[in-house]
Amino acid sequence: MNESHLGEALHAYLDNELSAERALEAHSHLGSCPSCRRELAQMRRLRDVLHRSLGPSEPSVAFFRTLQQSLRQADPGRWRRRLARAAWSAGPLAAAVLLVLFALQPARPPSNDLTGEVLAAHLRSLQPGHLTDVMSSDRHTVKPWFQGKLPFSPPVLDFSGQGFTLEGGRLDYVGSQEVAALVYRSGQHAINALVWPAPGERDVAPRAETRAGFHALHWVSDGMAWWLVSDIGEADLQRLASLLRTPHQ
Amino acid sequence: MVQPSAEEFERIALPHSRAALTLARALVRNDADAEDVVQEAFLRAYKYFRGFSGENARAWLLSIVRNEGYALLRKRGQAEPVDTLDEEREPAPSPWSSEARPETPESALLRAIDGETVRQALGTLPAEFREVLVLRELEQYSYKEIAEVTQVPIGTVMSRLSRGRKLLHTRLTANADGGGRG
Ligand SMILES: [Zn+2]
Repeated sequence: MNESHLGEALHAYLDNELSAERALEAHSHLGSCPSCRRELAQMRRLRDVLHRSLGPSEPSVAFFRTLQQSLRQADPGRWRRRLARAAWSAGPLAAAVLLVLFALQPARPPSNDLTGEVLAAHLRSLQPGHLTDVMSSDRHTVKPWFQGKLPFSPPVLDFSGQGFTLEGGRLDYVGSQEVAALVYRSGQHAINALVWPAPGERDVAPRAETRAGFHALHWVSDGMAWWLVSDIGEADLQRLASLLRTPHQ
Repeated sequence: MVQPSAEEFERIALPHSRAALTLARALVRNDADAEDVVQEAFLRAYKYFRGFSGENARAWLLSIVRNEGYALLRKRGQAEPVDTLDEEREPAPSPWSSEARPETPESALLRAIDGETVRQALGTLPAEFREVLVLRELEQYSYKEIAEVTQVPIGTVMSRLSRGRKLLHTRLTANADGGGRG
């Protein structure tokens, strides 16, 4: 009955990569072959060891910052790039002058695509370990955490009773702007509420935008710019927006 | 098609940076170099993004990360040329093959083993085994996707996984046995 052992198919069986028919064959072979059973058990143990001792490699925040910076520099739509090209054609002296000027520029020119920036911040935060710097559903823990880290104090509110649980907060960047990120959870979905001061800006009613399956909602009120971004439905996002916009103590 | 903005590219690429880093780390076996490899690879991917029309951005991105990783290994003189890996050859048989050994010591041994020992043992495997192992075990890639990343047939993926696991299992259990064997 056991003329040939499972061999490589044993691994495909372990990985659920066999067709239903072949999985059934493998299963019945295992039933009658102690040797393959033993090997399968060993490979399962090896898998446990690997899972236990080798976590996936979480990228650091510095990694994202460097990556974003180099991507933006490689973006041909950027004025830096175009100017640089013009400078080189104008000769080495002009290039040298411009190089010095560039060095004095902030590393990241502001982007016009605020929605894109906000979405990028949301996606970065979804990387495991990046969602919150301070993890608490207690606003009396989250709010003081921001003090001293930001030149403004973001409103921190929990709406657990209404289906939006405050999970914590973190510092983030949108363009070159340092922002407060409040993280809410609704079921399986994480929602980022990004807020920063917008002194002198007129109030703007919530405006929704959808990109790549994500919804973003933006408004300005009381001199603060707000963005909500998540993959939950737009109606839910609107509901959280109205909770946040309701005057609170 | 115009080149997308950096932001557009980030939306597609950033969610795969963890998998990219896992792969790079398994290949170059050094955290700082692994980050550099992924940075370089993503930048390269961005520059060639116009030419990309496939559906599986993840496999495409990771295949570029893999190329960068191997380039670094070659620079260090550490690349094992693929053709020296004879796909047909069985791993060297261990004198205490699973058939001959009682099961309890092996399982007790694996249970007690520490992370550093596992990382080191993994590092001694050929790069072609390391990459399939981490993509499968740490990132749960399907054989098909691993085949796309590593640009080999699915059968080869299965064969490398099988041989890589057996080899790693042997090294781990042999190491902890006191290594009395040459
Ligand atoms: Zn068998």
